[in-house]
Formats: sequence, structure tokens, C-alpha cells
Amino acid sequence: MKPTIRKFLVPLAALLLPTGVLAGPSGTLVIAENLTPENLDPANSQNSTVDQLMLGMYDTLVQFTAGETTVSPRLATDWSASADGLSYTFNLRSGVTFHDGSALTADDVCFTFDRNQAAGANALTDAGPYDSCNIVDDHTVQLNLSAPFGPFVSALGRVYIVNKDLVEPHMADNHARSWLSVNEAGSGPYVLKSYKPDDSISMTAYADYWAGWDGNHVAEVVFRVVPEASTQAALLKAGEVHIAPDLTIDDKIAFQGKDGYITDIGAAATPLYFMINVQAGGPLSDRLFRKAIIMAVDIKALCDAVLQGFCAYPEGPMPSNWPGHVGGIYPEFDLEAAKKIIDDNGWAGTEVNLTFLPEEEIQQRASEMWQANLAKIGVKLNATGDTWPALYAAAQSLDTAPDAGGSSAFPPFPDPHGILYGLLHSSKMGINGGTNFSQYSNPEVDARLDKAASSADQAERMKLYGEVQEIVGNDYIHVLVAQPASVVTLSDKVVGYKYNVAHHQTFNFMDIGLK
Amino acid sequence: MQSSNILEVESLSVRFGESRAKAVDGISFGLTKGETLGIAGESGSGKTASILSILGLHQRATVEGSAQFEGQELIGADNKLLNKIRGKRIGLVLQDPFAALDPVKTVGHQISEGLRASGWSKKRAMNHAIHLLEEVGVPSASQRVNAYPHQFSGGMRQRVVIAMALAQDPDILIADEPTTALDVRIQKQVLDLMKQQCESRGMSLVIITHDLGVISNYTDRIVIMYAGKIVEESSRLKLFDQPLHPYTQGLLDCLPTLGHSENEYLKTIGGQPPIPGKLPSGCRYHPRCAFTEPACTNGNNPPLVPVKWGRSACIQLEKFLKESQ
Amino acid sequence: MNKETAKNVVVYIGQRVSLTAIALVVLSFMTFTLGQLVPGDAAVVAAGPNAGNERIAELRVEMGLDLPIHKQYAIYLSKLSRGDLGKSWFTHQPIWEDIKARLPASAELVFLAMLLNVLISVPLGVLAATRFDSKTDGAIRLIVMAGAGIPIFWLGLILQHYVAGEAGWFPIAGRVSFEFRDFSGSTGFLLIDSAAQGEWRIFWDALNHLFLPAITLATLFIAVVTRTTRSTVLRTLQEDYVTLARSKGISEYQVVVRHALRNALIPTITIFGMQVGWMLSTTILVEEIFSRPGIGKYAVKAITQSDIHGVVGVVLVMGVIFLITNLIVDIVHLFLNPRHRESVQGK
Repeated sequence: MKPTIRKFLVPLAALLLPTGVLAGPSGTLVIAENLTPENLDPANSQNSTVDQLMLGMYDTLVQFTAGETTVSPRLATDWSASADGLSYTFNLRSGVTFHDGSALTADDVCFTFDRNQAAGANALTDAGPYDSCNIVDDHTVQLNLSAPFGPFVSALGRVYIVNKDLVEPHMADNHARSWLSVNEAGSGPYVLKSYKPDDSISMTAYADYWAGWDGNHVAEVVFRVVPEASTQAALLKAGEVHIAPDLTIDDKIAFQGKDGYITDIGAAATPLYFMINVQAGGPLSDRLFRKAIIMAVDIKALCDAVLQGFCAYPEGPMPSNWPGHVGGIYPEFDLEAAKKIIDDNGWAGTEVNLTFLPEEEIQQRASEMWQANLAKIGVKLNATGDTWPALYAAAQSLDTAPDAGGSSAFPPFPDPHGILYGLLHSSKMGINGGTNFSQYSNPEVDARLDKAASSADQAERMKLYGEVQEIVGNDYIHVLVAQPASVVTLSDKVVGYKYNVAHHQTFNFMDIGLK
Repeated sequence: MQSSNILEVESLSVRFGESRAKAVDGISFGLTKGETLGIAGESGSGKTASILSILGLHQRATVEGSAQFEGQELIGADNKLLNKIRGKRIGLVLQDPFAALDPVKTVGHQISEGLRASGWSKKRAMNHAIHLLEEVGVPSASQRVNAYPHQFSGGMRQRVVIAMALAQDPDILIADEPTTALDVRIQKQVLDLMKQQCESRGMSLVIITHDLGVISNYTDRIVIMYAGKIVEESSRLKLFDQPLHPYTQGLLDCLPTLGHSENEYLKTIGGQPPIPGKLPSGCRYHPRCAFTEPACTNGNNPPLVPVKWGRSACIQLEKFLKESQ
Repeated sequence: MNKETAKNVVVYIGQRVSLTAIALVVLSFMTFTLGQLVPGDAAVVAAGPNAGNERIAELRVEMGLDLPIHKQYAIYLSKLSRGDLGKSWFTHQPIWEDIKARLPASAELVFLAMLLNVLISVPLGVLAATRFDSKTDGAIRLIVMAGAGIPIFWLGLILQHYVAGEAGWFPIAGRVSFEFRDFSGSTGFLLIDSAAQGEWRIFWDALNHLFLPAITLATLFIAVVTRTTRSTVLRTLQEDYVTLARSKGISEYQVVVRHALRNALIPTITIFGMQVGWMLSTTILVEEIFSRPGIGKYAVKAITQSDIHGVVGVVLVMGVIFLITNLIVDIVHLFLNPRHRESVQGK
């Protein structure tokens, strides 16, 4: 009965009401969220929980439409770079207003960049060597860099423009961090309605949004904090939430193909690495030993058994859906060959210490798998679970750094730089306060990374990054253990859901409507 | 046994616990109005068990036999009926005055509680409590009525317990080892008090004790119990002159004699009383008795039979009387 | 109590309060020092990944982490003496505001769980004791054993799945139904605010949302108190004063309630007092399942972020609650136990 009615009614409704008339946001979308945002400060947008909310409340100069890894205009209608790559000029859209009704101008853009710089915002530290901002006119800004930075425009996808008039009076108090942590000063499609930490965040559609409200959109969006995966499942079943991103893998499979639910499988780019400390001394300093223990990582088995096939297998240091990805880098899983290397060199009985983050289930399971396989080739893996700050702190000194560390990458923008620089550059070694837990320092790699970062020639850049991946593949300094996909279960009332690969664990809820 | 007895106990047995052994084994005795009866024996002989069972105060005991108060059967009676007897007709005093009073209630509350349950107004019940405290010799009773038990000395507490037992003007006052926990000087005061109250009220008194000396001056009649059985019943005067059972003789021998000094060890009966469930055959006293003959060790426990001026359960009575003289 | 006693009691409470203040300073010092042992660096966390050593060092100075620990503590204490708990390094809000926003939800949960605890465990314990060795007693002991053995997390999930999800008798999660999500009040306590505004539908709705979490939280505590009440009442029932109370011919109910239970309550109240603190630190397990905001979650977040001021703030507030409940227990004891009252008078 039901399908018949639907078949009949939907085209009928479409006939009666042209899309233009249908426009105007309506309904309330409820999204389960397993974490509460630490704060609502756009300076903190590198945190994906915060970023998810910023996407709706603020605007950026450029944006990544869902699924894309190249930028498209948002506040900026177009832009150009100077020949020396030190200055970028953006033409701003006119008629954009903040939620208080005031116009968004070049002044607000410059204020935002200067504030981010003063506050040490991680959103901006990732955006390269920003130097200053010039107001050319009300609708033109010029952003200046102290050194050329190839992926600069991509990196602006998370710099959210704030309303200077509202924020400036609070600058004296820790660069307005306290105020912006609980208030909103944006021009985005949704206006913050209420923020209840650990409970919910609601926003309502901004009627005067510059892009208008054509198409199917919702009038109110509620992010409901639901930490427990099983509770998310229960609420989804009860119809209390429309989107449940954090179900257990078993629940995700159970909902797949079930009447009334949609399972969205998005290609994600949040790879997990086991990084091997090349400065640990002993056999670990020998690339052959590292090769052997990398050959004991069964990536395919992990993908099939733990991630139930919801994953990709990139065979190289970068996610397979990332620009500049090169495959065929890692050695094949081969315990026999690995054991031969260990035996031939008399390395049997070597102990390797791994620190991983047990809060990520995949890390726990990958550690167990690696431990079991290494035991078969005569290497003892001592796996210890710890917190991220603890691992980070340990890596800051070679005395405390573990032989291997588990760490997932959340690249700040879709460019090889966003992954490889933090992973491989010597300035980002753990001992220098970075995430290069391999403590890998190779002038050949550094030179190529630096050159690629400062070049504006995309073809040249990709070539350099390809070379980098080949070099490190030969040095056996880490292994990409898993590249999980984003699997999100939704009610079939939801229309227009699409995973946003450029921002991790987020989606553009402003593009979503309800049936 | 005449039916004029106010309390008539017949074949009363009490069992406890898993072993279901009899702690009291078919005892019978009567109590007349105004009489003072002593029940004596070593601890574990079943004195307390039998008395508490009559009032239905043994929570986990199986009681058989009969105990009639003014012809009314108490054994097996429900709480509703028993509550008409408890306190109102039979009052109870227990051994340890430190344990006998609820530490968190004023003595006035505890004395008047029974009266209040019978519908007395609070004021009237409290006034009566003050009056009772005066009667049992608690000084400045009108203030002390609001005091808590821990604010009283042991002797004074026992007076409070007696006042509590007297509160509803019972016909019988049963005192279980009322002076054991008190020092000697106080013992006499408390006993005098009870005796005098009984006389003035025409109340019967049952004193339970392991110490024959305590009751020597206060009772009309004495029942001696051993291992759950009554072994002798006698009048007070005769009992001390000429006991009818070797066990009684043993108890009397344990009493301090005149001129006894504190340093001197008191004589005791050798051996231990048997525990219920592990009783010897024949006379239960025979393993400890000096007059045992083969006849004593076999067969059933000898019955309690009327002899001379009382009752005795000793089959060697003649021999015992001859030798003990 | 007469005037003299009342005065002494006031003096006594004053002494207890000043002891409490000392205990809190000690507590703050211990938490502050212990916080240094937790691996990780607040500045590293605040800076975010790949910030670089320069930025981390800058932040360390900004956050005062470059100072020796005793100086950090001295600064903290001087702020604390002005009632300032500091600012959180991750929410950027005054810690007191953060706690104020989260404590009411936890407090409501603990309050209801405690209410259920008192209302269920004491009667159940008394029933078991008065029916000693009967089928009722056996059944209660079985329930108690099960209650003490069930992991809170598992119980919560089971109740949520079957009683809320399948049967639909109670809400699955949250503090209040979706239709009332915009309700707010001055205290942050939904029950109080809704009652104060006469919004009885919201009051009832919030109470409904509290029920399963409260039962989940209370079960273990109910088991503990039922067991102790049973054994204490069993013991007091053996007391001579109970036998003598019975010998007065008063009803069994009065004997049990006025004498056996009344005396057994003294140790039980002490346990209740301790349990408030234990419950408060257990709420996080329940709050995670039922998606309720709460103070425990904030504490865990503060710990994982190495936000030492946040941790000390929560510990202090929890400590104050713990000490206040124990003070209340002490005062209740003054009423329940005349000996205690006298020892106070003697001071």
C-alpha cells in the first residue's frame, strides 16, 4: 500500500507545487552528535566537532562543496594571486549581512584574520605564513604572506569570518575567546538559538541569508549530544533523531537496507598510521628491520574484519581519494618474507614498544593484530594504551618517545601538504612539538616538501609530492594501517545528505531538507 | 495443682535452631496469686527460655505444651491476644539494665509507651511515669523522666526497667536475673524494691537466677532446673535446710559461706552442664553427680515425683538424703 | 533541645564548617599536585596538533604553566580565596559557570536516585530482617545480590533498550522531551524551574526522563543499604530493649519501627551520607547512556585535556557537596542519637 501511495503522491505534489514555491526552510532536523563541542569559537575550527557547527553559523571566503576536494566561491566571488605568491586579492560578494543585520565588509575579513593570528588560532596556523591583511575597498581584501604557500586558498575553507562590531569589544578578554566560545557572530545560513553543553545546540534558519533558501532546507537544526552508540541507535529507531553518525559497526550493518533508513557511505580521509620511531636506536634504526615489521601489518584483514569492508586500501602514505595520492608504495603483507629478514639478521627476540590510543577501537584492534603477527616472526610488540596528550608529550623527547605510535591524521584541508608535511617534515618531528612521531628527518624530503608548499604550480607540486611518497616508502618509517570510510545512518526522511570529505566527520547540514 | 493458680505451666517444651533439640523439656509448675517463686539453675538450664516462651517473646523457638494465664492459653496464641497479657497482666524485667533500655528514647517514653498503646493521653502517661519513677526510688523523677538511659547508673537503670514493668499494673512480675549485672550493695536494694512493690500491689513475683543466695530471702517457693528439666521443687526454708536433689546440694555448696573472704576461690560443681541434643542417658545430672549408681545411668530421665515436702527427680533420693546429713 | 543545647549545636556546626574549609584546602592541594603527575601538557592540548614548540612555549607562559608548581598553586589559592575557580582552558568560560551549567542535571539525578534509595532500601531491609529466613527474606537477599552484582552500565543499557525502547514506557534519553527543549529557568534544575513556573507538564516530563537513569544509578546503592539495614535491624531485633518493648504489649509494628529500626537508622544514615558523594562520582556512567549532561563528563574532559584548574574546580565542588552532606548527616545524628548530642554538649 505504502509504496503505491508514495509513487502516486510525490509526482503529484511536484506537479502542483513548482520548486520555487516549495522554497523556504521548514521542519526541524535533529542530528545526534557523540561529542559536545568544547566551545563555539571559530578560532578552534580545526576541531571537527566545532567545525561542524561553524559550517552553518559562519561563512568562509571559499568553500568545499560536499564531496569536493577543490575550492569554490563562497563570500569571495573570485580571487587572484600575485606573481611572487606573496599576496592574494579576494573580491567579496556584496549584500551579505551578519545575523544582526549589519553588512559584511572587507573590514570584518581583515579583523577576522588579525584576530585569529593574535589568538594563535589553529585554523590559521595551518593556513601557512599569514602576514597581514589590507582593505582595498569595502568589497576587496588583500591577504599577504611572509612566504609563498601553494595551498593557501584551500586552507581558507576553515577560516570563518566574524562580525567585527560584535567581537571587537571583547578582544581584551583573551582575544574574545571567552565571548565567542558561547556566542555567535556569523553571517552563515543558521543562527545560534541555544547552546547547552553536553545536551544540545540548536540553530534556526537565517531568513536573510545571501544565498537564499531555494530548494529543500530545514528551519531548525538541533545537534543532540548522545555519547553512547547504542543510545543513538535507540533514538534513531524511535524517530527522535534523523541522523546518527556514531553507531557501532554492527548497528550500521543492521540498519543497512532496512526499510525507513538510509546508509550513507562516504569516502573519508582520516587515515590511521603506526609511526615507527627511526631514532629509537637498535634494530629500529635499520630500514630493513622496519620493512620486516611493516610487512607484518595485514591491512586488508583489518579492513575486512574490523571495518567490515567500510574502508579503502591506499597502499601508500595518503588517502586514496586525496589529491596527489600515489599507490603501490607499501610492501605487501608477507609474514614469511618478514620472518626471513628477521632471522637472517639475528633480530629474533627484539622488543618494540607501541603506544596507541585505545579510545579509537580501530587502534586497539590494529595493535592486537600487529602484535599477533609480529610474534609469528619473532618480534615482541609491547602495546600500551594512552591518551593523545600523553603520547604527544612522550614524543617530545627521544628518552620517552615510544618505538612506535598510533595516530590518526585529520588533514586540515584537501592537499598533500595537509597530510605529508605534519607526517614527514623534520620541523614537525615529535621532539619539535609536531606529529611526526617517526622522528623522521630527511633533507631530501624536507626540500621537496618545502618547495611544494611554496609553489603555486599545481603540476609541479604533485610531482614533488609523488617523489616524497616514493622516498619515504623506501625508508619504511610508518604504515597507513586503515582508512575507514564514513558510514552514517539516517532516517529516509532526510534529503540531500552528503559527507564533506574536506572537513572531517562533517556534512553540510544547510544543504539538507526533510521529506 | 489447683486451678486457683494464676499461671499454670504444663509440659512446656522449647526447641531452638537447626538441631531442634529441646532447651526446655516438658516442665510443669504453677504460680498462685501474690506468691513469690524462684527459678534457679546454671545458665543454659532453660529458665529464661521457658519464661520468654510463655510470653511468646522467643522469635525463633518452637514451643509445645501449655501455659495458661487465668485459664487463658498463651502457647500458640496470636500477638493480638498476647498483647493483652504482655505488660498489662505480666510484666518483665531482664538481666542487663545496660541492654534493657532503648538508648535513643527517654526513659519517660519507654515507661509510658505501653500505657500510650492502651489509649492513655501523653500527659497522663508521662505523669504516671514520673509517679512510677518516684515509687521505684529514682530521685528528682520529674526531671529525670526526660533523661536518656545512658544518663543513669546501672542500679538506677534497673529501677527504671522495674518501673517500666510495673507501669501497666500487672498481676505477675517476672524478673530474669534482675541483679546479676549489679554490684552487691545495689542488688539488695533492687530485690527489696521488687518485693515491696509486689506486696503492696498483691502481685505475684517470679525471680529467675543462677544464684540461690540472691533469692534466699525473697521467695516462698523455689524450682530448680537442670538441662531443661525441673529437678526439684521445694519451699524456700526446706530447700536450704534439706535439698531434695544432689544438684541443689551442689548449688548450695557453691554459695559463699559466712566469713568467706574475697580472695578465696568459690567452690563450683565439677564438669559442665550438657548441651541440648547431647544429653546423657538416664538422669541428666549423673555424669556430675557424686551419688551416681548404675540405675542412674540407664533408661529414661527420672520423672519429677512428689516426695516429702516437695518434688524431686532423683531416684537415689533416699541414699542422697542419708549421706548428705 | 533546650537553649543551651541549641547554642552548643551551633558551636559544633561552626567547628565542623571550619574543619571543612581546612579539608578543602588540603583537597585542592592534593588534586593540584596529583594533577602534575598526569602525563600530557595542557599547553600542548590547547595549541592543537602541529602547533610547533614555539607556539606551545608561548601558550605555556600565557597559561602560567612555566612557573614552578608551588607558585602556580599560590596564585590559584589567592584566586580561590576570592571565590574565583579560574577559567577553563578548553571552554574558555569561568570554571564556576561551567560547573553551574552542568551540576544541576547531575544533582537532580542524584537527588532522585537517593530518594529511591531511601524509600526502597530501608523498607526492604526491614522486611527482610523481620521475615528472617523466610521466602520473603530469601527473595530479597537474591535481589540484593543481583543488584550489587549488575554493572551499572549494563543495567542502564538493558533498561533503556527494553523499558524505554521496546516497551516505550519511559523516554530513551535526554533531560526533557523535544517539544520542551526551549524551556529554561533561573536555577538550572528542571524540576525546580518547571514547578516554580507552574509548568507541571514539563515537571512531569522531566521526572519521567529522570526515572530510568535514577533507577540505574540507585540499584547498586539500594543493594548495599538493603543489606546493611537488614543486618543492623536483625541485630537490633536481638537486643534486650526490643524484647522488653514487646513485653509491654505494644504492636509489633511499633516495636520494629520505634525501637529496632530507629536504632538501626543511626549507622544507615551515615552510609546514606557517604553515598551521596559516591553517587555523584558515578553519575557519569548513567549520564553517558541516557545522554544527560553532567558534572562527571566535564571532569573527565578536564582530565583528558590536562585542564588542571577544571579538575581542581570539580574536585572542590564535589568535596564541598560531600562535606555538606556529611555535615547534614552529623546534624541528623544529633537528633537521632542522644549520646552524640551529649558529647557535643560536653564540648
